[in-house]
Amino acid sequence: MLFPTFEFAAFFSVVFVLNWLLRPHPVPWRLMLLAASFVFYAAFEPAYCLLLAFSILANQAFGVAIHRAVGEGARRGLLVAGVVVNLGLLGYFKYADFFVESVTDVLGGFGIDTGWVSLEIVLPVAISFFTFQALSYVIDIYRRDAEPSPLLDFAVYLSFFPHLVAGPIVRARELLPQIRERADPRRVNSALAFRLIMAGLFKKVVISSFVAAAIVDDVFAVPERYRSIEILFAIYAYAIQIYADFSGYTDIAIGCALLLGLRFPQNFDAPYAALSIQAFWRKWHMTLSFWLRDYLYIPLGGNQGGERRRDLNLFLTMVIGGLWHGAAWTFVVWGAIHGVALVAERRILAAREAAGKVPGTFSPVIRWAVTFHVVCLAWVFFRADSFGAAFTLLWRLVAAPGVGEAVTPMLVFVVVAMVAAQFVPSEAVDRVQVVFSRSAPIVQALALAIGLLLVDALGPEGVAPFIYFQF
Amino acid sequence: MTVERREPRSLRYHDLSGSRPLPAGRVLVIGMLAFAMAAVLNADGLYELASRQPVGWKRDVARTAVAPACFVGRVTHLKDVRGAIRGAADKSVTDCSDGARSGSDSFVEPVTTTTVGPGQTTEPPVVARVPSTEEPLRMWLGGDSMTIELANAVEAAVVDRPEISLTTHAQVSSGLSRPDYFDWPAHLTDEVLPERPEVVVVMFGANDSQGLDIDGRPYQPSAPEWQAEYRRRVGVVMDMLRGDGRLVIWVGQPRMRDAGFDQRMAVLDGIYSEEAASRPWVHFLDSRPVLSPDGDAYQAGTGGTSLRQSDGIHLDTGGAARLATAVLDAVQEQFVERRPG
Repeated sequence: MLFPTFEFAAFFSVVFVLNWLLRPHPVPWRLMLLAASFVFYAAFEPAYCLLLAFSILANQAFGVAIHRAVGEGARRGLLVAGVVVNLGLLGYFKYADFFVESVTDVLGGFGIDTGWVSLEIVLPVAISFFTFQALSYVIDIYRRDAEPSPLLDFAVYLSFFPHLVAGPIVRARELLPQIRERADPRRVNSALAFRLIMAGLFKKVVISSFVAAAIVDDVFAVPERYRSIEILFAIYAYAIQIYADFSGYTDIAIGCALLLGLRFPQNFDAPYAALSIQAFWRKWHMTLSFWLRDYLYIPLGGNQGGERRRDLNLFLTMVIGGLWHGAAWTFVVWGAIHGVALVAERRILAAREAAGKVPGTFSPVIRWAVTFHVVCLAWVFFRADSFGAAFTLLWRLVAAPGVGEAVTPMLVFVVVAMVAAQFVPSEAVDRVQVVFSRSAPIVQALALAIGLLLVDALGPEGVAPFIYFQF
Repeated sequence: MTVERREPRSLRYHDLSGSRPLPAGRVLVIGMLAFAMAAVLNADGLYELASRQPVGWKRDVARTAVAPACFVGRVTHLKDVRGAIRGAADKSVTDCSDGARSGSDSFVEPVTTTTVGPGQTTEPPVVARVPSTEEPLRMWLGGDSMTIELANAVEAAVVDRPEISLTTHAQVSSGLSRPDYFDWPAHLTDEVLPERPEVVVVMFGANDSQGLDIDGRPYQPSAPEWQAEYRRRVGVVMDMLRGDGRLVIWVGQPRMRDAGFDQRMAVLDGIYSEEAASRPWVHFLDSRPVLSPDGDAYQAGTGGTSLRQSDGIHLDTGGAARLATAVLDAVQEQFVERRPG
């Protein structure tokens, strides 16, 4: 069940009414949300519900067992078991075929036939997201940052449909307290919720679909047919597409949760306005960045140890983060490019500071341009089907001069406008939101209807799947 | 062991910042009013959506539900706003006031063909020639979403072959069952044939295993009436494409992962194959051995190459490349060298 569909609109309308009717009754309210989330998930594939149910039961069992364990050894053993079960499940569904193919390819290069065949495992939607959330719950209990919640609360948290399929990655300590406390039905932050939902729909249905159809899909499919300027704009356009697609999804998710009285963490904060790669990762898929920082970078040693060790930790975190996005070497390279860029950036800035250099007038512009283009370069490997396709694209970027016909004025306008929009101060948008919230209900409804009209009129026929569903 | 619980900083951006919170009931009213107004403004879009539902009660109910919004939109002219926006954006416009078409009307026997019927022509069905850079082979390839990757793969294969001029059109969710959604006969007549392609490659079927509206009655794919009507439509399209020595390559459906779907596609492949056999200008390209190279069963990949996408239906780049090679081999054999198989 995709967000921008009538099925979801009807489903959500029913859930909204039941949510506020049942909110004074804690157990029925929780049971209703749990049932709604499983109905939502079953719409993708009913069999996946068994996997989600297993994850809920197993992680609750690990959380409770760790909390009750007396000795540190027992606690650590249970933690390791919990991590192995979670990563084992994720590894089987997501990486088993990747492993088989990689080993077969490498040994095949030496003339060794493994005889292994692809297991043809279908990756269940949402598994990457709920596995990371479940891990945070178990690890937080181990670290004594949280206590186990009742099973029903944990089940509602892990399966809650707005964040289930493609995030944001909501921590247990962010959502579980809200499930326990009763939201005030007289104070729904509807203005922010509607703003997020409308912005998300426009980004996903109009912008993402437009740039994909206008240039991205064609250029990445057959780069040999295109000239350098077309390829350059296809890369820029893909940067816009994946931002519009993914941030659009999470905007809708956060808005829907907010209408139900539950708050999710922010996931995007104008990432293409970042002046450094480090700042980019504080603005892009923020919930994943912070998850990787807390549950991977810091356990690896974080900033402890020498400079080299710190750089290695950073690099490994980015590479593993890349692999989380997909079981392919192109994703590993995507993560590695970011890892190298982060390390290089850190060292260059430290060296400049040590040399007493002061940033010049144009320093922010140069830093923005370098950051944006490094991010775009990495996106080539994220989007390309293979290294061959990525290198062909990059080669033609420099070796096939020319403008071509695929770069239209509308495409240039959309790309430039979307990048420029990242620099609009959020206070300006907040002021519009305040005016909206204080308008009469009929005016608010009319504004929303006009927004839906624009989304429908400017959008394509049908709804393309969200890019991040595959992760 | 006591855990201190503070509001995580990550949630602070939800602060109202001066916005006025509303009671849930009023939010519901605003939402319902917005949907009602949007329904009137988007009446044409809703009608398009309703028309895309499977033939039968679902489509009838959807169209009936949309009718009031269409009426209000037409009387108040509010629905014209959407048409104006789509027109300015160079997008197609449907008018919900136009009423429904059954779909069968689109498949009428061609009247402007160079022949009088299969096997009764005085000219050779396919006029072969060796294409050159100066006079490239005009090749058109199209169909449903199965041809998205196929078109990309053929384009990649001919990018360094200036003797082939390729045009493609992949229309998602289309086929021969639902011309009320996308009218392929009209598109072929109006957009494709005027360009006088010498080779036409089509691939239909993946969306066709659904109810057909025949003389006002819905029939399902298992019904003999359905199969007879579908066979007729296939024949009409094949005859429509004949002319000027043109070669038609009709690509069959590959094995599908879902057994039931695979069985239904096999029925369609049988129809394509039989209809092509009686028309010498049509070459049926069986995609099953191409995309199941290691046996007569669905195959996701071979030798580390992914043939099919994770849905078990669509082609992945590896599969599309294999099928593109088969298509271009067929063009070489059936058109350039003219060795009918």
